[in-house]
Amino acid sequence: MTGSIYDLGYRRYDGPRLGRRHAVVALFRHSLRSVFGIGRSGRAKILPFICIGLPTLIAAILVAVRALAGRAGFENVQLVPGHDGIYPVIAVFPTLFVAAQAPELLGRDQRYRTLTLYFSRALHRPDYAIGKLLALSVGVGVILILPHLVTTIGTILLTADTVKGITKELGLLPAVVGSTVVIAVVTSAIALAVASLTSRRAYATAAIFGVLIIPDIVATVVIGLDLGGVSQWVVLFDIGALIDGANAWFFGVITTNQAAFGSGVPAGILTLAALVVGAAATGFLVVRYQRIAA
Amino acid sequence: MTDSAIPGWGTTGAGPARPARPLDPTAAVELQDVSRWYGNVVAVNDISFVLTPGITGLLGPNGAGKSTLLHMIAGLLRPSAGQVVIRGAPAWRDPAIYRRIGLVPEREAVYPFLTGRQFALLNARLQALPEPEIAADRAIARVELTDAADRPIGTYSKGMRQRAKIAGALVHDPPILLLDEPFNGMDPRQRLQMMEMLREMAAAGRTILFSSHILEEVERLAQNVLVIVAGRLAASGDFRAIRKLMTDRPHTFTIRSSDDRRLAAGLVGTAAVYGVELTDGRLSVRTSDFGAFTRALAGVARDARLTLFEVRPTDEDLESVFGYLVQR
Amino acid sequence: MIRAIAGVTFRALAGRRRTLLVTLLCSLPVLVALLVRASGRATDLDTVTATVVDRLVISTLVPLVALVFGTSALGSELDDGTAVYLLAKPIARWRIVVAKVVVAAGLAVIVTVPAAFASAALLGSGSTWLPHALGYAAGTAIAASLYVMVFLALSLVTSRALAIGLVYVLVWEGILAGLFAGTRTFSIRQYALGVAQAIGGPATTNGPERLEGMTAIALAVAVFAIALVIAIRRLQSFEVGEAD
Repeated sequence: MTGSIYDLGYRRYDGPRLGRRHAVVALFRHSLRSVFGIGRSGRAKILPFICIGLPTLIAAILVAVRALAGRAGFENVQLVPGHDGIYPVIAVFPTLFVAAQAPELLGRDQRYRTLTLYFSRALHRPDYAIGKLLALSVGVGVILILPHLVTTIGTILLTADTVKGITKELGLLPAVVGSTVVIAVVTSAIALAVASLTSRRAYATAAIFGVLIIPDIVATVVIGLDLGGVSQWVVLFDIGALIDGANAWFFGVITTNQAAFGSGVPAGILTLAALVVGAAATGFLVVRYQRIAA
Repeated sequence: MTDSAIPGWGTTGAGPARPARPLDPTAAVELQDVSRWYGNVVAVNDISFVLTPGITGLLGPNGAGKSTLLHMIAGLLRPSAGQVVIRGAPAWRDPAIYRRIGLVPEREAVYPFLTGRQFALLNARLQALPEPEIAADRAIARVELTDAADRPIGTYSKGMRQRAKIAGALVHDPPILLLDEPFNGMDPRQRLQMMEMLREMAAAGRTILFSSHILEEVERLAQNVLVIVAGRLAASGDFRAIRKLMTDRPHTFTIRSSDDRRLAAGLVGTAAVYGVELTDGRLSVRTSDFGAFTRALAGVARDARLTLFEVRPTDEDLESVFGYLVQR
Repeated sequence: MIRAIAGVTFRALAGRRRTLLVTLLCSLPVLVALLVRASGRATDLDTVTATVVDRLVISTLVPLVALVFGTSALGSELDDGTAVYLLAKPIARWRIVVAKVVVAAGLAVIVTVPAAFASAALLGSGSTWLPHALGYAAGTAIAASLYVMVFLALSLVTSRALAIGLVYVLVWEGILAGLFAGTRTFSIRQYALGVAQAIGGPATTNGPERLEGMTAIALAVAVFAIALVIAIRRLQSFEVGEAD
């Protein structure tokens, strides 16, 4: 029998190709969906929804407390956290969120060896890292911005003069947006950099949790000793303090983080350090994906 | 020849309700009306059979329910209905059955930090064998892994890993051996060695069940086959007997001759032929009776003074039998 | 048999790089305590003890280590399919669970208890260092084994054990415990702190009022037993899924 190749009617695709930018957008959208557990089983949605729901609920409760305290005639209504003080109250939720979701975002592709498939497409290796970072950052950003939104609505409604209320809130807009972006990107970059080191979910989660929480406890103790000299600069290794400092700088208030406050390092420098750490983590992530065996 | 059956052959619709049969306490493995469903997806649908010593091949396309069936036989999955019985005792929730069963799962993962010998030794210890080291070494030698036995399994090739898994299942010399896709990842030489080993073990009176979606493997190794299609048992029994039953199904032949058109005209008048088609200079003939058609064809060709160049059954391999069973 | 399961579990959990990292992590509180003593500047040692041992060891390191060991010991083997080699053996399933718990809890205790003992001892004064160290060592041992048991049971109940465990530690024990004192009845951290204080740990006013020593132990034993029974029952009727 002679050999032959049958024409089954397959055709080459010769339409337009959307290229690299669209590939990144597609990866970003896919990752964003999976960060929130959309398109995954119900169980995968539990944690994202806790992380979005509880901070929003807390913000609503704080607004209610302010309303009730104001009506009861308490003097120190201003002590109830508003825009400037909400982050320290809900900080545990972004931590929880990135500790659980960053390993999920990166680990699956490593475990199931799907990285090869990504890198054989229009996507470049740094694009993968950046796409994932953007997706996780937007996820954290949503967690952070919703409480601000609730606070804004509450404040406007609590202010008798609506125009005055809106003007006041608009004045805070740059600080709200700025702090949200910085906190979201820095937290996400650090979490992804740590998660990229191992494909085992349990270890990655524990490592992120450790990196974001342990230095803060150590720095609090060390700075509390008030050793003088360069010892106060230990705070620069305390990611929690840096992020809290950045939040304080954007709103022009005093940081509530013990280590950051005790160190006496100006909020501006803490903010700068947070940005440097975030940039370093992003750089590490990109380099890691340049070299990782796909 | 052992009794063979293609269930539902020649009948339409569901068969009559079966009376409950008494269990056969001497049977190594017996399945009675076993079904398994996941939610509203039926993976295994009302299967009954008895496994006897010798090699039985569990044949079916991917997703037919072979793994589900093997897991139920191995007591690792609860049947949704019916029961799996090993030597008279239900398999589900009874770890004692594993003294008699050696299981080679399909999934590749094995503790990567153990060496092949350590893995066999672990299995021997877990079987509480009196001399685990000797049993482990014997199993390693049996699968011819001695040279690589002291390397971590993480460094093994697919075929070596497969042999390490088989060694782990053999340490306690089980009378029943269940293998899920055992030849995956093996090269042809390893495959032959493994087949030889399984034949020897079967000759020593063991009951061996292996699953495969590759006909050639089953054809070469198994005396008995269970054909499972879409969760249902499509055929069971002696391989050759089933094959013969298969030949009585509708067949299609492709024929080249000196004048296809005239041959076609002649064949249409033959009782055994019920379809003739001429396309692209190819004559294909459908018949319901294999024997009668082959006899008639020669007569028709002679009477019409034609020369036959080629008579080729288009669907003689078991792969097309699959297709036939699936469509039925 | 149990020894064979324990052996393979130990090797799976205690990889070389991993052990090194965990050891480094657990030496952190000791280093901090050393620094505090060396500086001689701490005015209120009991407050520092509360920060280093309560916050760093019992509230952070112990759940972290237990989360890793507890969810990896059995859960990850069931996920990747290697558990079949243990399940398809003539071994009662409860023995498998017990072997796994003993190894995972043992490892967690071995890495965390010395850290608690040493840092509490270093931060104590002449008369208090021993009761502090013993109290915190006992509390840490209870927390480590109980967290491992609970997370191991959780990993048999759901494939999202890690996320649920994190929520429990951070939200339930972390946030809600500070607001609702009643949550201490269902908080492993509070059992540990209650036992630590009952044996001789410093009396701190940090967080909700401590549980009575005996109450804490009784609750810990009850939770351990419940989690153990759940884990055994889940493994007895565990169904191997299709290869994915």
